[in-house]
Amino acid sequence: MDIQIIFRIAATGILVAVLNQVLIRAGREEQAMMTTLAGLVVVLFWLIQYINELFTSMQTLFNL
Amino acid sequence: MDIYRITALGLIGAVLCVTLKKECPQIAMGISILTSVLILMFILPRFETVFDVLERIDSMLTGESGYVRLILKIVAVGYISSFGAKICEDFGESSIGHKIELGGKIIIIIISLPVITGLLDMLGELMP
Repeated sequence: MDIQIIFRIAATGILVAVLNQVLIRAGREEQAMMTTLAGLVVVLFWLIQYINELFTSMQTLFNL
Repeated sequence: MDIYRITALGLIGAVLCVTLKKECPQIAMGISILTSVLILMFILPRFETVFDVLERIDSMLTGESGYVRLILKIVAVGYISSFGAKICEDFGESSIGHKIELGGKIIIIIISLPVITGLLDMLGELMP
């Protein structure tokens, strides 16, 4: 029951949101888009690991 | 008790998801997916005792065995398809959610085909 991962993802989300605003105010919309994508890739990477773990444990449990 | 842990995790995930929904909807979706994954991973080991009872029932049945294994497969397919479909609908992609549900239903029909044919054979034998 590791809740740290949720807080880590929320922290990345908030960081990306803040960076987005700062970059937009500074007039660099493209970099803002880039940071959002970068944050998204990092979050998806963590997510894939957990989804993979869930599906393998379901596979062994239900021996599909 | 486990239910406290599950509810607490769900509420925390929901709060974080709502806070991020406006600025960064993609990561909010990531948080909701991850919360449901964690809850499912917490629940799955609890299924072990249910399966042992089902296996014992299956061994007691004298007739065609393997039906319990089929039921477990259908339950698993149902869980996974509803897991994905509900998350897609939660973020407004209801058409994708329906497609996932449709795929789940078709897979369940395919899995349960042997049972149907077995039933028909049995009926055929009963009829004179």
